[in-house]
Amino acid sequence: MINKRTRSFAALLAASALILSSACSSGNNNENGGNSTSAPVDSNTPSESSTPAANIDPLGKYDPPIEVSVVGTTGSNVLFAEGESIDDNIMTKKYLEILGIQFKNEWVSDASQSLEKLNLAINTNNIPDISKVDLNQLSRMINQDQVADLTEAYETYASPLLRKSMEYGGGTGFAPAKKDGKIYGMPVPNDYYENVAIMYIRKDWLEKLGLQPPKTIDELYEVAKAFSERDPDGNGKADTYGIALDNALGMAFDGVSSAYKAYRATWVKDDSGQLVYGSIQPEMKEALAKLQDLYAAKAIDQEFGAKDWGKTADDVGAGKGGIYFGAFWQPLYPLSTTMSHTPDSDWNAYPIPVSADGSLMPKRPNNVFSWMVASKDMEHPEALIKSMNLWAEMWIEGGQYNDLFYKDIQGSPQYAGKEIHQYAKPYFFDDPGKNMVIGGQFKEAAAKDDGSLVTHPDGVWKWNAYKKNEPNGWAYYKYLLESEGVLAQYGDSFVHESYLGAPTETMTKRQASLNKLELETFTKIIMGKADISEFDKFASDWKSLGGDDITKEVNAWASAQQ
Amino acid sequence: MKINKKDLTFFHLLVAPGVLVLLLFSYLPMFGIVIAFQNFNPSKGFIFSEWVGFEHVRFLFELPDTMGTIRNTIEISLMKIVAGLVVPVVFALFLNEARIMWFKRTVQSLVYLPHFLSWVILGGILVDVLSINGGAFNQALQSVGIPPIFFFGDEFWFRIMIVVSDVWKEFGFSTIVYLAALTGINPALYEAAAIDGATRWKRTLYITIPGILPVIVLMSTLSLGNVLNAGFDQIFNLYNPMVISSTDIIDTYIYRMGLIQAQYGLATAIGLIKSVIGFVLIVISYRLASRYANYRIF
Repeated sequence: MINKRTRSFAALLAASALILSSACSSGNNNENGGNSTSAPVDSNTPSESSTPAANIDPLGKYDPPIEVSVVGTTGSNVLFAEGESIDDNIMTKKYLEILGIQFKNEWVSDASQSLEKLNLAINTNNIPDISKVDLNQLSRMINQDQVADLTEAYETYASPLLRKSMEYGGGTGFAPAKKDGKIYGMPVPNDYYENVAIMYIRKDWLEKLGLQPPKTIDELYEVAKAFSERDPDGNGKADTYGIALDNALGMAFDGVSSAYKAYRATWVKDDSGQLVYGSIQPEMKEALAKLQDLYAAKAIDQEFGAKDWGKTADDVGAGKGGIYFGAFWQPLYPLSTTMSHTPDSDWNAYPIPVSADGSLMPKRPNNVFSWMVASKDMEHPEALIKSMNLWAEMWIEGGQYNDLFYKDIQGSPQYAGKEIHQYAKPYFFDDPGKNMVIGGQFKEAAAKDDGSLVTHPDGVWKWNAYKKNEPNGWAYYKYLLESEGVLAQYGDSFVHESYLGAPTETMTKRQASLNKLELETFTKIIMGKADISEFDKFASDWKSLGGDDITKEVNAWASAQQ
Repeated sequence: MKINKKDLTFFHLLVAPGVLVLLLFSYLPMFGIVIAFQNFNPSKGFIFSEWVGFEHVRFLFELPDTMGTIRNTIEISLMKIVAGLVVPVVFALFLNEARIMWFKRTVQSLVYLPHFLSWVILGGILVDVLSINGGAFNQALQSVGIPPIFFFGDEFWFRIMIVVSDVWKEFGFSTIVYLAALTGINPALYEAAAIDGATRWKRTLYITIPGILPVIVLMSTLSLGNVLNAGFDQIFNLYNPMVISSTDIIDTYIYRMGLIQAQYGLATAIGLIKSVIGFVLIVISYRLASRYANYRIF
């Protein structure tokens, strides 16, 4: 919430990770629109509807070709092959060739400015045919009657592969995009476990100090303390710390607080089935007290309050922090950067600490943070679904264009290392279950030392990159084998975000100041600048400053779903 | 002197582009202020959006942060104005006593230089220099036995740092103004005073300071109009959750509310309040300036 640049930076870096996650940034900013698998899917929508006339082809070509306007985003990781550009490249050519859709960038902006520019476009009612928007923008555009109803287009044209991706885990990504039973936006899913915390620890530091990987909070306390006191990098200076925490209280906070069954900025079900806000529950007080202890023992970075996500990542890369709580893909960034600084370093992935009763109950925020919408004035809104169909056929295992994408395009020397999937039109989306599948194949392949067991097209080249010791090879191996292994170990025991709707009226007006109050109070408590009793005052302030109204609205939504 | 009609047309043409730019970028956008009284809906436009009267203003004062940001803004900018007045005057007086010309010129340029750096860059530098974990400043403190100060985590020190760094960055400009005023003092006064046996200190006290007093009064009254501008660039690039309650200012508040949360009505309302107060302050400062420093625009 504080630092706009940070968020964009984080988003940029995250995007550069090959699995295209906006992990940390979205995790921190997408606090109230989460979804959960437990939600019922509207029965009158998607899948089971009757397939109309057989001549409707999900990949039917427009003849003559149509033009569809979008907006483009550039960033330092968006690289083009010789002679290509954001307006004209191999992907735009393929879409024109196969679907007869010519994508045209209405404007192109740097990733750090796209949020503000798109807000401007929405507010001047000057939107392109198709745009990718966040939760707030989506709900504004629906309420302002700016976007097209996609219900029919989706039911008619969505291919089975596209449906599989859109409806993975219950299709909860559709929830905020619906109004009166109609779909106004297509979810842009990330990996299903996108924002689930995993504990990464410097293996070389553990070995050097003769420590065991921690399983409980108390063991974590000892290891983190040792990392800050016993000079694990051996340079004779007290310049290392245990737990890297960022000032948006990201995954390190979740990793520790989950052990107390406390879930910040998440709507959870209480014993009576009501939805309650995780940040104000009594469990959170215990978690904060422990974090205060950890900070006082110098087990947490003493300067975390002044460090945003990017700065924390830099620190970890520079070998200052030894315990990093992050998403499954983070061996790609920042963990792989530690090795360029300290060549003999190594990280291992572990589950987060267990709670007092020995159970593991991490939080799983939603995996959809953006939606693709079509302008109300667009002539062919089904072109959005068709383009998504084509991308599904290229990217998702079993698609008829898998070979075209993975072999002919991504596999050719011309496009090597260009992260060509970022040019997917109109916008990239992932197969939420993909990494778990590849993870399983990696496990088999590693156990039997047989690379042929990796058959997923997106896994094959990653396995080869690992075998050939290519850049990122280490990271692919770590995240697909170890991180996915940890996720598999978590199994089904997650606390899901239980509020799936669009921001409520009071949320729109007051959530920002409530979030600010929360962040400020929690930061002060952790740093010992405020006594733990401040928590009680925060909880009552939160309620009186609009939280009670929000709770009512959220529960009204929940009862309307039943 | 008589000016004929043809000449006037030429002058009007010269001024036209400036007037046009002013109309286009300063006056035309003023109509957007109506958003402050609407539930603005872009697909309906300015005219057909729902009118809500002073609802946004009322709601603003219901929000817990609004009064705090106004208070912070005034406190921080007053600190900046006072420091920004004293430092350049004292510095200009010292520099004026320097007799070596190249030294004076060089120093003058050097202190003006930081003015050209952006806060994005300075922000990054300050975080590193003032870090408690190996930052140069705190290492220096520790080497003389003073415990390190966490500038970015302590509300008191953060404000001090904000004011000092702002003065350091900007005082070069005012120094030049005061130096110019100093050169305007008639040297005969100094000579006469020296003959009468006045010491350097006495000469400063009775000739130099009264000589530049009108400029000091002018600069301070004019800065009154800036009381609600506490420096967006600087604070936006430096603040963090630990110090936000004591450093969040109106402009950062508007930025978050308008550009991030897209609550245009609310953001416009608070911007309008700021403009109204700023307008009153400018009128007052202009009156004061014209009374005490004989400063007139018209």
